[in-house]
Amino acid sequence: MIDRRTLLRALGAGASVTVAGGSIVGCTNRPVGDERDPNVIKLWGQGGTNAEYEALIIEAFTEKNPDVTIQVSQVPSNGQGDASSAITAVRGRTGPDVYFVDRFNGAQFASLGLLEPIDGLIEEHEDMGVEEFMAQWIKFSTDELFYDGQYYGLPVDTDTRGLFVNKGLAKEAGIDPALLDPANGPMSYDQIWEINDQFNVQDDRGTYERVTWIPWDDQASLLMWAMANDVPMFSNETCHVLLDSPEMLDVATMYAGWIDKLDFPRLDAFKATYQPPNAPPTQTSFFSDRQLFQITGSWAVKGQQQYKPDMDYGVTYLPVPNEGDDPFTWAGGFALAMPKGASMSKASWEFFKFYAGHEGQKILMPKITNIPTNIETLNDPEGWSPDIKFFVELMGVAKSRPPLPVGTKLWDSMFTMQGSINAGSDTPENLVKEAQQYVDPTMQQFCPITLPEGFGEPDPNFSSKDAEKAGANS
Amino acid sequence: MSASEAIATDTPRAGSSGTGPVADRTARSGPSARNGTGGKPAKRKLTGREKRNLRVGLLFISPWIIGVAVFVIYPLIYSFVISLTQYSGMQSPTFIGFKNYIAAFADPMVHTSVGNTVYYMLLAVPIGLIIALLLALAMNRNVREVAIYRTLLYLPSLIPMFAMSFIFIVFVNPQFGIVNQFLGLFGMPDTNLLGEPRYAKIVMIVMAQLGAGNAALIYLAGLRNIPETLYEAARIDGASRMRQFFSITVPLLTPTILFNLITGVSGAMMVFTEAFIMTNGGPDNSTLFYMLYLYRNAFSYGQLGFASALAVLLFLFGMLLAGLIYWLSRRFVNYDVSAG
Repeated sequence: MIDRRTLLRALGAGASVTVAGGSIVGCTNRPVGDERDPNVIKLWGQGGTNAEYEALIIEAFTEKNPDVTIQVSQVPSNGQGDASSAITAVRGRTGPDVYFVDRFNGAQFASLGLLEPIDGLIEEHEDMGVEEFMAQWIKFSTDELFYDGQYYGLPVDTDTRGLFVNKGLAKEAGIDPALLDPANGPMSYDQIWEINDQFNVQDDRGTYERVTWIPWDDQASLLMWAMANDVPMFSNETCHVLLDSPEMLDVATMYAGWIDKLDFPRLDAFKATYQPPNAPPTQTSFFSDRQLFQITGSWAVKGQQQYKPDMDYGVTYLPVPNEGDDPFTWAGGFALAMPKGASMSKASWEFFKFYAGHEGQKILMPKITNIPTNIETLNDPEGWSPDIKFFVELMGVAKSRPPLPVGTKLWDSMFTMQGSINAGSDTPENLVKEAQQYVDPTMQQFCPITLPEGFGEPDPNFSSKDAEKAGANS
Repeated sequence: MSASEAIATDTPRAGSSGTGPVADRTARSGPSARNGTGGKPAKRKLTGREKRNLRVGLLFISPWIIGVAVFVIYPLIYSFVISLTQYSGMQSPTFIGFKNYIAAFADPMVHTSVGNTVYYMLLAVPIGLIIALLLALAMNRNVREVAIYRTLLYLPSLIPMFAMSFIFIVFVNPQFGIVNQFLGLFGMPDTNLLGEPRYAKIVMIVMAQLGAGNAALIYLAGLRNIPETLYEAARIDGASRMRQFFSITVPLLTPTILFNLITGVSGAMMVFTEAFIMTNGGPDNSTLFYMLYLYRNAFSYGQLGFASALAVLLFLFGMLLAGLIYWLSRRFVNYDVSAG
């Protein structure tokens, strides 16, 4: 039994420990902003295999700036638009000075108040105006970082999407090679369906053994088909999202028709068999010679080299609505940003610029087989891997997502609509209305805002001439 | 079957007829006994000694008082305050009154997520109670190697839910998974159970049963609290095993059932991990549980005010449900043994 005296002693000891512990924690130096050591830069960098390439950038920078220390952490995000780790770290005064983020989230994170604008740093440290400085990067990529009159980061990479073809399978099935040759332009949806009917194999139980394509798999999605069909997503005039427009309904109806034709549960079972959720990158239905076409991005070229180097594959344009239509793709990518509480020191600005500028991009892009956003790097013969020439040329036609403060919600609503059509649980008419009701009220909290002129459309600064020039570099 | 009939009629009376130790306890602690002490106690000042005892008593429980205040009451009040604002977690909150609550009631996704969570709760909790009871009965068998069986039956409960989620993804692989292989024997085509809205929740309900070991341990404690003499008496009266189970075991286990019911309901209301890992709310939002939607609002959409309103509503619903269960429990819970 504990007697009173022991209890009081124990409580006294407990209180002392608590006070001592509290003081240690409370007095821990957690400076933010300019209280931080200007020459120690905390970076929340890239994850996975890209971390080793990022280390090369850091090495090159610290070689030139030996008195600057860069501390790298890899903090995985929990998914599209998830800022939980950054918000908690910033609130706990342990946020990074430099933060590698999905560029599509730039406007949204800025609207949350999570990021610092960089206009002040440009004015302080550069000899040119903000617009002139930002013009060193492809326009759509800086548009994605523009919110409420200020820029919130510098773009790093971009990527475009194409149709990867398993040439071995195509040959075996006797598919006309001319159809798969990008020199002949993109295939139409009808042509893809013709191949589909010829190529797909189901066993006697109806289980797919091999398939042509999966229009919701990897980078293919209802959102992508909407962009491919020129569906407007946002009106600058009215500050409303446009998810229930007649154009969106047409695409949703077309997609619903595809789902019917493909027998979603069977095709979904096929995918989950050969590429279950969270499967390692080596385990895909495309790599296991069971899927003829895979819609994915330029980074997958590295994946092919790493995980399936012996596969005979090619890349062509994404399918388009009608024969003879112009090619289509869309581009995304990542950026560097400075969250609240970052030191914003000269050293961290120098590192920021080095990483996202010519030198950093030139080190990174060839390794990760993505496309530079920095125009000087794009025009540098060694600025990107010659293996992605086709993807770089695609930049001339690449669209992008509207950089809205409700970007994640819009993304989720499109994937919800896709899931409901896949499950056949509701009609496209109802689903487009639900999507609109889901996103637009949240959008109204941020109105009025105006997106940069020409948002989402192919970059006017990147003409087809540039593409040819870039292509000639390789 | 006159013997069992006799038991059937005798058992309810056993409690009040004063035929054994249990009955004696009942007489002292039953509702009537409690009512016997009814009436308001006379108000009087505490003596010095009582005051000191109170102080020491409070000191004894002070770590828990502080814990509850800091980690429960403060966040609760804070959540409520935040729920009245528009707040991203970064900028200063803007007061908007009850707009978040109105928005929560109007949001179709909230309806979907409530529907999914209630569906999960209505199936997972009762099934869980039964499975845990069966496990506890198995753990309570009088065999020499019972310790090994207890460990084996409890073992799956030690696997964290996120790890279990990854394991289950393999189990339900459409073509190679053990679950689909089994279902295939009955002619079911290869199906992605996690990709079908009507099956995805069922997979998670089945998966939750692997954690039944915790509830089973509590049942086991309850079972071992039931005096063997009751069973001996019942056997002498010729009661079958089934009759013993329903007339002795179940009634005397009701306090434990109540405890497991409340913890089960509260756990089911907060189901999150498996949906987050296995399906991320899909397919077609069929596994978009309330907590997952709350999480998305807080951390993906930066709507902390709205998420806090959802949290406050969940808390109120949980309290209401717990109150309802307690109220109902007065009709079926029997404290005869545990009161001893």
